[in-house]
Amino acid sequence: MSEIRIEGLGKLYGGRQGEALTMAGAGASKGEILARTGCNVALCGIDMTLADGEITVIMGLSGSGKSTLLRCLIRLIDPSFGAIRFDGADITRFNLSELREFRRRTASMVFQNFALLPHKTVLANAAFGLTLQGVRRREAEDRAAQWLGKLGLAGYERALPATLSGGMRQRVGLARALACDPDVLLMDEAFSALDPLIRAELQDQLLGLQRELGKTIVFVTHDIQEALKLGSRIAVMREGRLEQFAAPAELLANPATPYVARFVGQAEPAR
Amino acid sequence: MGWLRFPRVQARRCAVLGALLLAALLPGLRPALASPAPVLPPACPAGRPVVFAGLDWDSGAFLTALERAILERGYACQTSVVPGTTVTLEQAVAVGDAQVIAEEWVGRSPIWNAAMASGKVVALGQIVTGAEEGLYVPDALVHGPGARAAGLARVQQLAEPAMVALFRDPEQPERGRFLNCPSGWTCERVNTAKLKAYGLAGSYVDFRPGSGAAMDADITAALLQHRPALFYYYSPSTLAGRFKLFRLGEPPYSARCWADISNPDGRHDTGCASPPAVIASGVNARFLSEAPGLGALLQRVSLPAPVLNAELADAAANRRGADAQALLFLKHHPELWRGWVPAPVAERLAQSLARDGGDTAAAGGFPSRWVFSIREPVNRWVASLVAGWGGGFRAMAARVTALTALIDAGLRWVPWWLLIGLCAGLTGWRRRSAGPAAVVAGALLVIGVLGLWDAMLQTLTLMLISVALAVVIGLPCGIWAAKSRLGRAVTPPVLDFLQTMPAFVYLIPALMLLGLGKAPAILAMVIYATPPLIRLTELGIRTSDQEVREAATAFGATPFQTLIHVELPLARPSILAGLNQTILMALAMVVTASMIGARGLGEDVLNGIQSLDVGKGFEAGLGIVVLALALDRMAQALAGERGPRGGEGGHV
Ligand SMILES: Nc1ncnc2c1ncn2[C@@H]1O[C@H](COP(=O)(O)OP(=O)(O)O)[C@@H](O)[C@H]1O
Ligand SMILES: [Mg+2]
Repeated sequence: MSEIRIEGLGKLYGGRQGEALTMAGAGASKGEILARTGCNVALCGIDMTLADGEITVIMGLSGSGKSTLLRCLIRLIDPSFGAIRFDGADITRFNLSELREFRRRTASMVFQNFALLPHKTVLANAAFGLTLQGVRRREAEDRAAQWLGKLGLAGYERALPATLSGGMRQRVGLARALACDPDVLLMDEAFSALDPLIRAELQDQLLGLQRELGKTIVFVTHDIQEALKLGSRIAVMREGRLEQFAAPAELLANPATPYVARFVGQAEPAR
Repeated sequence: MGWLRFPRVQARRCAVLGALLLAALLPGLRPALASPAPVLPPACPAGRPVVFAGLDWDSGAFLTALERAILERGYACQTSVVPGTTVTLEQAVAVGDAQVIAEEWVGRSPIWNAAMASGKVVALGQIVTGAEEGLYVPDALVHGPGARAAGLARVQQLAEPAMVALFRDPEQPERGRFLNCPSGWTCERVNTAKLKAYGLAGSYVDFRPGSGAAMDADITAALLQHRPALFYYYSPSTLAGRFKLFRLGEPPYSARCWADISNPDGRHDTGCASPPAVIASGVNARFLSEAPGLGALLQRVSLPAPVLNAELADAAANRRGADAQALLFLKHHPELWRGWVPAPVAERLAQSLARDGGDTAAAGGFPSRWVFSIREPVNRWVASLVAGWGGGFRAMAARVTALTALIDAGLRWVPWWLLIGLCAGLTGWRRRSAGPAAVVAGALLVIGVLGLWDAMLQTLTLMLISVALAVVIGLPCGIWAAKSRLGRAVTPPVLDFLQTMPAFVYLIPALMLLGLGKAPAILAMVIYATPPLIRLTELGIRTSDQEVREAATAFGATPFQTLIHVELPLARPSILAGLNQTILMALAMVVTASMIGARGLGEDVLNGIQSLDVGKGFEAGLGIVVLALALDRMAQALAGERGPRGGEGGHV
């Protein structure tokens, strides 16, 4: 029961932003706007609804605004305009303590380079979110250990992250996010740093978890194969705009623009 | 601080000046000058530049400037000065590296006595008459309304408990404090012997100020604050001209008594006044034989002590340098110096003085009307601070001093083997390895074997307090600098200022406020040792992994939680490097600290240097290095992460 409605979301960096907006409204390209106004349009006029309990994949080339969009969802980046409604509540209007509460209970994030605390054990890392919430240590560690077991890391509780392989580290990252029992999981290129085999393994594991838990997951990737495998629906981004937002089959059958067509075209041989 | 510096020849512009003067006075070039009576200017009797000992106490500097001015302006000689400690300068005159020492207290220094006995040096004339030295108190303490020690007239009375209480030592409140000369000065040993001979050694702390500047600053502060103080002093001096001092009576001088008192290995059972001072110009013997004309001058230069004191006080009140004051004196008191030199020389000297138009700024120099001096406001501010707020600062200093006494006593109470065992054991336990523990134990043993254990404990006390303060101040400041925009803007220039400003610039006022001893020493060490910790804490936090910090934020961490769980742990290696620097900087400051009266290893170094006992200085210096090694290993072990179990990095 966690529907996310994104309405007219935009993020501009630097330059003369008023002028940039006018140009963007007139359909000018990102490059033209940057050259004319010095303003970097990272995100522009995003409207989409992410369904509850589904994996939504956000896909696009590097620099297309995927991370910016994802980070706006947990306000690591404050959007320049627009609204983001979680079950109706606009998180862009949250004050600091509301925001903190939202981050602790509702949405958790998994990072591309794991972002584990190097000085803490695997167990303490997995329990980190709970520690921040003020959960008592015993309970936090019990819950974290359960998730570690579920992700196949039993026995590594006392190890330091540096002694683990990449795949194992990201499982710790996943355990850390899941231990908070959030409604929404935000994953930014979470598997991109991993070897293909490990990556496939983790993708399967994520799909398994999703079936079991029914979490709402927003997954950012630049890899069409991964998008097609994981996504219930796929949003294709280009230069800060939403190019097409559809189910994988729809995307393959009816690409809305030549850009999307070219993108999904790469996927054909592999299928 | 000349007596702390190593001798270094200071080339002056005098050579150029002298040449110009000569050229200007050649009759062919300046016929107008020679118009009344063609006085043939005597050539400089010395064939080469005359090197003066650069005495740096007030009267020594003035008399040196006076003799130099007469030689340069009256005799057209070139002169220069070599700076150094009294002992090194006497040595320099003996071997001929310097030729003249303007103010030599004849018979007081073993080095000078030996050089005189072997005919290497000669004492000429009596440059100051009516000089005296001894044990002084502020005159207001014994005379006038409200005098707190109205009956005090003789040293023997100092043994009375009321007197001991009056001159209470802040570091050992049950004893009084006698402020001796800095170690290395000739008077220091004599005073110590006198203290014993007068039966005061038990009831008074024999306190050595570490440097002449520190001694003067402490006495000045006491006089400005109308505090009781018992100190060695002397006239001629600025202080004697500026303040009214009262010399305590001593048994009259006798040769037998003095022979014992001035002998370091004497019995020191009966004391007496120092002999009437004979202050002469000391000259290298070979130089004298080459330039007898100058000898005749030095033979006749002579000033009564009160006149000299007035000049010195005038110089201090108007913040005039010795050179400027000497010129002023020559201008205003021809009646005093005309008799010292032959008539033609006097004539030329007078002409030179008359020509002196004051400002002689070079054409390319900075325009003088743009010069704005902050000197006077700073001086006034410090003086008012000392006079008005001295009590409060002293109370604060007393608390710090009491803390050091407590820690010192605690360290002293622990047997040496237990202390070594504790330090090494703690290090080994934290590191889970014998190596660092052995280094700590070995280092402390070396200090003990070098005979520096007691001095080390005193230094250790200073270190414990100042490093603790540096951490308490440095960590929050570093965090502030890393997290706040204002902090980032403000911190670097302030730290640059603290690290670059020469320590004595703030030490002397600090000393006047806090009193001589451990409190200003700790202040100096903290000021010097905190900046690296601030810098490296800031750097460590600023460069900690961005993604990990972001993760903390994403999981709902408050800024404080981010700091505790992420930023400080990630910055730990950098902070530890900062701690290491802090310890080294604080130890490096230990010698400076001893110049303002803090005992310990630094005092031994200073003492060694000032008395030309290189071996002693090296030994104590080595002690400082070894202590640094031990402290660093211990600090890294205590503040660092625990070592890996069994050497492997570990999961089960
Ligand atoms: N802090 C920033 N300042 C200015 N421009 C930024 C900043 N962060 C991102 N951008 C710009 O925003 C655009 C989108 O970036 P991003 O969302 O990281 O792309 P993606 O994750 O799809 O590779 C890029 O053009 C990038 O240069
Ligand atoms: Mg990205």
